[in-house]
Amino acid sequence: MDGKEFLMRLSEVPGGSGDERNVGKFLIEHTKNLVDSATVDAIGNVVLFRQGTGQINGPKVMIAAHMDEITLMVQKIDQGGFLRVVQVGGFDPRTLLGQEVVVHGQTGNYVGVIGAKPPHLSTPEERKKTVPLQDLFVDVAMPETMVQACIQVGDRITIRRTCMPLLNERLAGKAMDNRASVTALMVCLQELQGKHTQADVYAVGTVQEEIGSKGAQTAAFAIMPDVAIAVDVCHGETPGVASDLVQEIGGGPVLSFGPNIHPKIFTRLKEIAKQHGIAVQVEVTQGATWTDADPMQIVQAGIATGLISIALRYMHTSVETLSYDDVHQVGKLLARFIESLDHAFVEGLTCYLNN
Amino acid sequence: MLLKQLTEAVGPSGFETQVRNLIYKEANPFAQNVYTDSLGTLFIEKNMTAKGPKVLLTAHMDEVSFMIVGIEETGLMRFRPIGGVDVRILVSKVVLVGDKGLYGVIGSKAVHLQKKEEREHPLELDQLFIDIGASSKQEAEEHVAVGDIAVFATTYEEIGDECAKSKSFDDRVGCAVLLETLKKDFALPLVFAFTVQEEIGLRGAAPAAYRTNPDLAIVLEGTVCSDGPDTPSHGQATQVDRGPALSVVDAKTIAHRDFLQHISQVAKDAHIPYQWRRTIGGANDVGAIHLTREGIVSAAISIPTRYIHAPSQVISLRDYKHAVDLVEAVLRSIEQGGFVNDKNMV
Amino acid sequence: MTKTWFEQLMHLKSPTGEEKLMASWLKETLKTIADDVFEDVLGNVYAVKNPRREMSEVKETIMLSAHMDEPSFTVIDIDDGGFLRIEGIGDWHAVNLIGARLLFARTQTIGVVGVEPHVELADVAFRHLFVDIAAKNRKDAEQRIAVGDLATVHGAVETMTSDVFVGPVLSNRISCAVLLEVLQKANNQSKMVAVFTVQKQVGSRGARVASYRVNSDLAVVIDVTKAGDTPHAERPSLALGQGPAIKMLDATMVVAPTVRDRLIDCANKAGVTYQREVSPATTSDANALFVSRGGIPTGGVSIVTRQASFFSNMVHVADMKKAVTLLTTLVE
Repeated sequence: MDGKEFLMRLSEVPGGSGDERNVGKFLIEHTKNLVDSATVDAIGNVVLFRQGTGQINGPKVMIAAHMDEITLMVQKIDQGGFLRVVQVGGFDPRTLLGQEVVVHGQTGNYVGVIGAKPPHLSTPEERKKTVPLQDLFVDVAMPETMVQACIQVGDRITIRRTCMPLLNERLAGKAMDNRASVTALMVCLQELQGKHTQADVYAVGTVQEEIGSKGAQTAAFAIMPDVAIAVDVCHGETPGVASDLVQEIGGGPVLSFGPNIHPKIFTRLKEIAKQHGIAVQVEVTQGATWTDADPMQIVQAGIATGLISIALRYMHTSVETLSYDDVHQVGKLLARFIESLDHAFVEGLTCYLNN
Repeated sequence: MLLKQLTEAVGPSGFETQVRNLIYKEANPFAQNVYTDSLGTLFIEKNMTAKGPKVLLTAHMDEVSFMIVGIEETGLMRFRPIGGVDVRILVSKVVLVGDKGLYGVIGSKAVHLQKKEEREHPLELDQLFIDIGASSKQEAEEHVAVGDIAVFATTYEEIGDECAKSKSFDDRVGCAVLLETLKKDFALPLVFAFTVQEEIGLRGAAPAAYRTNPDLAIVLEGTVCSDGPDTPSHGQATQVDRGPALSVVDAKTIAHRDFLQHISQVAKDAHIPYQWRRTIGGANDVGAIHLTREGIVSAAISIPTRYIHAPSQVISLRDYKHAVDLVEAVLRSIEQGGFVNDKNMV
Repeated sequence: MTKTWFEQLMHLKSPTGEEKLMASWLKETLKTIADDVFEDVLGNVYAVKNPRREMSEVKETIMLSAHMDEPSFTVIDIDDGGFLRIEGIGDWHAVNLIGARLLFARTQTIGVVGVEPHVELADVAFRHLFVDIAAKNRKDAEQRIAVGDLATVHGAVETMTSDVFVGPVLSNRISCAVLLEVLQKANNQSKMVAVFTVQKQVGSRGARVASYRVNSDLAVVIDVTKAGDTPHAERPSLALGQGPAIKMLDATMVVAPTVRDRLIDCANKAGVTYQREVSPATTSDANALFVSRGGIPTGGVSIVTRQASFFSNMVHVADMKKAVTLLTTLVE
């Protein structure tokens, strides 16, 4: 499956934080021929391992992209069989009104629509305010007794959206954050096919990023790589937002620079991109990047960490929009970067003294 | 002079190179082993084969600072803070920009040009800019790039009654205490860690503690001090010239009672003045260190610092000296078996 | 009996940051029901059954945890009149404390919380509160209280019916009583580590180092959760006396389906009625246990309590008993 098709289908797979099994399965199915082993760890991280091709043990590099998407969960089955919900990850409740969803029951999936008190029954004051998540409900169009029989408190609800091609190689859909980056890992592994690398590669689909970057830190702890690269999405250009907070869609991989990023990894990524004619953009950060890079950098005695992002508009909605070209270029850049890794580079990463 | 050099060195979080090089130069003759980790924390080891509990002493090298995030067509530069800064204090201050340390001034629309309502509100970050004198974006870019850092241009100076002011006593004063300490000899395995990225979430200290896995840890910090007018006694976290402050509870740590008790007893016995840090706000590297691995017995000894996170911070040099004395006294007491830490108590 | 454990525990006050009193009682008590008992540098108390089972390859290590601490207060100032100023440790709203009685752990001093006049109720912050310990002046106060001393809300635990108890901030004692009972009852073959954790209220600091130390194959946190069965309460759909709640989601984490289904299976096997906890406002040690090392599969069993305020938490004994049965089935 080519990368674009892979991303379109993967974005449609349901996989909320804490239950990424379906995404993991899809990922393993489509990458197992590209790696030496594909395993799932105790909390659901998918670890795709590609052994280095050198004579001696090479450095270890981990590339990580989170598999989870933001979802809802049933909190209560209300009178009439309407479902009251909580969020798992951060939605803007304004974007939820009127959305189609899928409720994942124990024995089957049910299509639902998100409703709220209709506007003509709301007061003028109410209509001026955002409807809070608390007041929304999911309607599965079944009588209460049927709902009670097939849906339970704790069941997951995902956004229902078919991925759409737009103009200019752009795609729109749900969960492009962060299946786009998972796709980039797949593209990277494809790009490495038949190539020589000293480094052992751990491509990891991480869990539970949206609720606090959890899987990446535990996976990094278990693997303890010499170099870790997080791959995630960042905000695409949007009218009215300061220029340093957004990046151009279709402008190529976005390289993060700042205190949470190892300077030598940033520089190496930039050099490699230049060598291979990959256009990149630079994002400056002043601390937290709010990605898996943050926790990974301080795992155990510390890991040299980098961050590559894909520009995306309308983050955390059902119409997240990006350019597939960017995704593909990120995959290529990762592969070329990995090919460049050797022990000398890795040893330099802990060397801050110029004596 | 050590405090002057240390506080005038440039060291934003993640960009601590100047400070690290300075400390390295100063510490190297006394060190048994020197290295850095992947984040840039500088480790100085002494007597690692000695018996007795291994003590980790830390101070962070980084200071609150700024990053250039955009250059306007006019050559004026947009910036954002690295670490916590009260934006209200920024207007009409002077900064040093980039590797070359160019002067820059933080400006805004002149008060004459502001509407009455505008004048009543503090200036927000998007109303402020750094001006290095460039006449165009192109000219600015010859000197400064997006991602370059800036720090307050304040110089070190001794003022008043045995006090001093500088831009970065938080936490170069801690670095200075450590440097004074590592020049002395103790019959203990000691690791001095000059940590990074404290101001953006206590990030360097945890890997440092994980790596060194000490029996005891002592953090030297410049801490909040608010002993000015209009502050009731219970709002005065610490007071200048009352000696180093010992933390009981802060935002990230509840002190290890026995170790804290021990330190205060040592101070009493040695007639070194000390005070309790009387606020639960703020945090220091102990917050990260004491939760590392199975838990590490840790304590903070802080030097009260007025106007912390502002361009001119003020400390008492007597407090500084007392902190140096207290650290020595505590290490001597540990050396003599005065504080025993049994990691697994039945 | 859980009730008996609870009755023994219920008078032990254990402020966040100074859990010594409960820790020493637990260490003494646990000696008779566990193989190994020890404490770590933060003050967590560990009790291990079948410690040598870790050599076995077939059996897993299960960690059960309950927190010992309850939200507390720390003294930051003593004025000339002998009045204390405090700050809250944990999730306090200053206004709710006006008129409350506090118990200072170190010296067992009782104090009454007062508020400065001319402050609007809505604006009351800790800086407006003072604690009156009936001291004549600063010197007198300092005989009993020092800056840094810790206190908890003072108040008796009382029986409302034969099944329902009420008392201030019961979460720690409810959870510890359940864990004690499981330890005592379980005839487990696998290695089981019970951890009584400290400092939950300030971000599960004890749980974090405990999970690192124990490195279990499965961790289950025992805590309380809020009922939603009072007039006009909308959510969550949890009721007092309807059985333990198996954690699906709380403020700290989402429980993986594999873990929660395992707990559900145990409940079904033991014939215990259970509820499903989806409580985004409830905190627990779960996440701190979960993100340790390479990731520890973690779930939770919660006791539903009605929480009218910090001062009056209600708990149903049947819920505690059923939780014990469920957890005993799990470890066996």
